[in-house]
Amino acid sequence: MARRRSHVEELLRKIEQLSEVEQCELLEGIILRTRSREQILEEADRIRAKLPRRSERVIKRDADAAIREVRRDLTRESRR
Amino acid sequence: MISRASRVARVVVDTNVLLRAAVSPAGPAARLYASAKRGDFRLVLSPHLLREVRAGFFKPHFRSRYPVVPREIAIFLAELLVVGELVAGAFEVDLVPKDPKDNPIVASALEGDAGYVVTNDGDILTLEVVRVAGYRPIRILSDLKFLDLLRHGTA
Repeated sequence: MARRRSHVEELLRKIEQLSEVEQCELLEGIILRTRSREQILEEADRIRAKLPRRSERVIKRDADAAIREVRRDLTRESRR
Repeated sequence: MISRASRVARVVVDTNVLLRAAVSPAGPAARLYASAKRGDFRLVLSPHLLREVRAGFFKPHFRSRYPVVPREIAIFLAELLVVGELVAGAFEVDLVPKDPKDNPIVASALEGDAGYVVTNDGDILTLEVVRVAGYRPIRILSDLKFLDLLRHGTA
């Protein structure tokens, strides 16, 4: 029992050391393996519904800016 | 008899449209995403597209405006994966001379046998149609134009 607990603690420590993006990827895998399509769609709709309401024009501007920034980062990474 | 799945258009949707659809319950991007969920067309995804959407959520400005924790971002990405079809991401092309950063979008379309790329990016939109020998032509359309095609049943 104690060995099992220390194994779990070790795993949790490893997860905490991951970046937020890596944690997100790990969670995606867990979610896809443990939930049905309907559960995932319902939960995504619930999260969407609680986000601040903004106009479509503003959402477009925010999304465009975020993706521009991501592509700049990727270009910089690929040059390294 | 041809099944519905084989008749629907295969479509790559640009990452900024996917990011908009994830946080917006209304608007063209959300309507497009709702159509994909209903099976009106087959959403084609690639590891590159998913990486861009995921990274977009984590950009500080975007995250401050649409506050979501990693678990919630993971739900959005999982949603994309249960709605769409993931290709391996093995293709590389050089077909968008105006902005090479957009090449992975076109590569995803070729790899996923998609007939359409939906984007609001002017550099890709100016291509209008991409023709590569051995592949079906890829029409490049804005979200509004593609929604029009869906409405008229011509996609």
